[in-house]
Amino acid sequence: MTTIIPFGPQHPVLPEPVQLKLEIDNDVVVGALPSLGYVHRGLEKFINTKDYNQTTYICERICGICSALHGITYTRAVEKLFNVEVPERGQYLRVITGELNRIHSHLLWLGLFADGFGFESLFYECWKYREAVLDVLERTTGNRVIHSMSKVGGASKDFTDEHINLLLKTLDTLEPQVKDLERVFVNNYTVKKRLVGLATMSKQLAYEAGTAGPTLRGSGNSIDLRDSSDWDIYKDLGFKPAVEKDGDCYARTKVRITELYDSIKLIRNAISKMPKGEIATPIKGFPTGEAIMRTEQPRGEVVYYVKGNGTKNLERLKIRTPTFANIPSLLLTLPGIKLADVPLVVLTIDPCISCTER
Amino acid sequence: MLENEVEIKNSAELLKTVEGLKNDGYRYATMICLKANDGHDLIYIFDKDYKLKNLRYFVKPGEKPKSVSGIYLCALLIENEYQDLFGLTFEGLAIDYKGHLYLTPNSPKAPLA
Amino acid sequence: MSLAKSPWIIHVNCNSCNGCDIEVVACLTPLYDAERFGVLNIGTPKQADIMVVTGSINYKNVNVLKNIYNQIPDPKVVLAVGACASTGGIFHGCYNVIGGVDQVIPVDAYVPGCCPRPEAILDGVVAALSILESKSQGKIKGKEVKLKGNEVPSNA
Repeated sequence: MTTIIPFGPQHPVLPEPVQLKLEIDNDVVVGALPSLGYVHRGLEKFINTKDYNQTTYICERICGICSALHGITYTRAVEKLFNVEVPERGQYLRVITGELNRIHSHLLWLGLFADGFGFESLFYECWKYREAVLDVLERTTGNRVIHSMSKVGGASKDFTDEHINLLLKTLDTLEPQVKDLERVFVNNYTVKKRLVGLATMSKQLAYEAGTAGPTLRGSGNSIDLRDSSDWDIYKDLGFKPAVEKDGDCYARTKVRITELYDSIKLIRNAISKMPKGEIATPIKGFPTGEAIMRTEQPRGEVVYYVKGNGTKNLERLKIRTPTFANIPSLLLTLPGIKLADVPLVVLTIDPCISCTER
Repeated sequence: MLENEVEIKNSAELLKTVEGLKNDGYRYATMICLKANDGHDLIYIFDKDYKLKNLRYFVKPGEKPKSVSGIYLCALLIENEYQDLFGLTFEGLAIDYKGHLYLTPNSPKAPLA
Repeated sequence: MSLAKSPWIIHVNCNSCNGCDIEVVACLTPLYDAERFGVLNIGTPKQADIMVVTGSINYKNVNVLKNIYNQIPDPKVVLAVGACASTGGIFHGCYNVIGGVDQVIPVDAYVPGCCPRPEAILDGVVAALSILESKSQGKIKGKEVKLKGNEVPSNA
């Protein structure tokens, strides 16, 4: 006989409200049904009342964790409608902010994950290191969480030499700290005991289930939009996707730790190659036509569809966020898992519910 | 008009094309719904090697489009979302929330996007 | 007296974009260290004294919020963190946003900002402590919150 256990919406492990109705047979999950809607605001309709510049700020507030990359993707999509070229320095500024955003997001996730398996001191450790990144973001962009670094046409603020020195100094201290964290997450006996072999997804399954980001790359698929020709700038910076073969929770954790090093390297390369000059192109007129833009967020690929009709408001904005793509994979991985491991499996897709429901 | 876009005439052709794309190794990215000429335009987006392929399918007013969640399971969330937001009904959904994925009986009613 | 020295908080995310949530959690981590005021983040409402709410209310989570509020024992204090929790903020006017938290439950203190800095949230918690103290001396009881009727049905 099976029992239905509601997991969420208010749960100590979940920072956000989402409900999973778990069908339990003697401590083992046999079925899961997600129930969404606790964070649905209706932004895709709301933007009809705002002009396309104001929409940047709405998009940044879809999610407070990947806020910078939401703003960047939206502005890049609208630039595609206008068919304008962003000055190179503006592009580099976007990359640096985006990668800083990724570092803070991954450190945040590592902390929450550590809390999820009961390793509270590790949680505090991760969040302590994250504060240094937030300090840099605050100094350079003006806010800890919502950065507003990108505007239609380029970047909205420029970095001074002082900012760049601070940034490089922070990265120098951050790198050994990440090594410390890696030692615990990768080698610790207790951590491995909880994670290795948990919720394994084969390469084929992860691909067909339409997953994105570290969930996809943890299963051996080398798919990362920073590697594509969509955004050439990453090619110049020497980017290689981080891939792990095993497809379990442990592999997904390792992908995120490798990406921390990658992001640090990318920022250093970007700073060394960043040219001087203009940061934004002035934009005139109103957008027309339709365009799709994709960017790799900390949680995976985000798809923006924009349609303009020659007025100041966009006619349609549709956002497919990475968690939206990853949630169906839970339906496939959760059956067969013990109830006590469910929080871990849910956390390894790095759920961001406010992204998902908008 | 998007790059690499194919117009689909009827739902049988849609299912056949989607099936073919799956066999070719395409990944389901998402689906976009737009209001157009009293009906709705559905744009199915697929991805392979960072290249997108778009299928455009026009849903006549009152028509019930076929769900592709039988081919790609991950299509079920987005199709349920459009049941909520546009009042469409997809036939053959793997899990049908019946228009209550996001909304409660008390929420504002479709169309909401 | 002892209550204000070790208030336990429960964090409720309503309709928030995560920005305020991560700042609330950042308050509890070593740099800002809310534990020096005896503050402990607790998972269950039945042991909590201060309810920290982030985000506005929508038609689905209004019941969750009301349910958690009613489970917290008296005396209790509600702290609305962020612009959304206070008024609806940037999302005021979205079709699925009812408004600030005070549309449904009584709020004792507001922390403005999008997102508020951790220092501001700590200030808000400290302000809530004195309200908590006076509530416990005056033995004020929070009223059980019932919905006005048209927000949401009970089976949502």
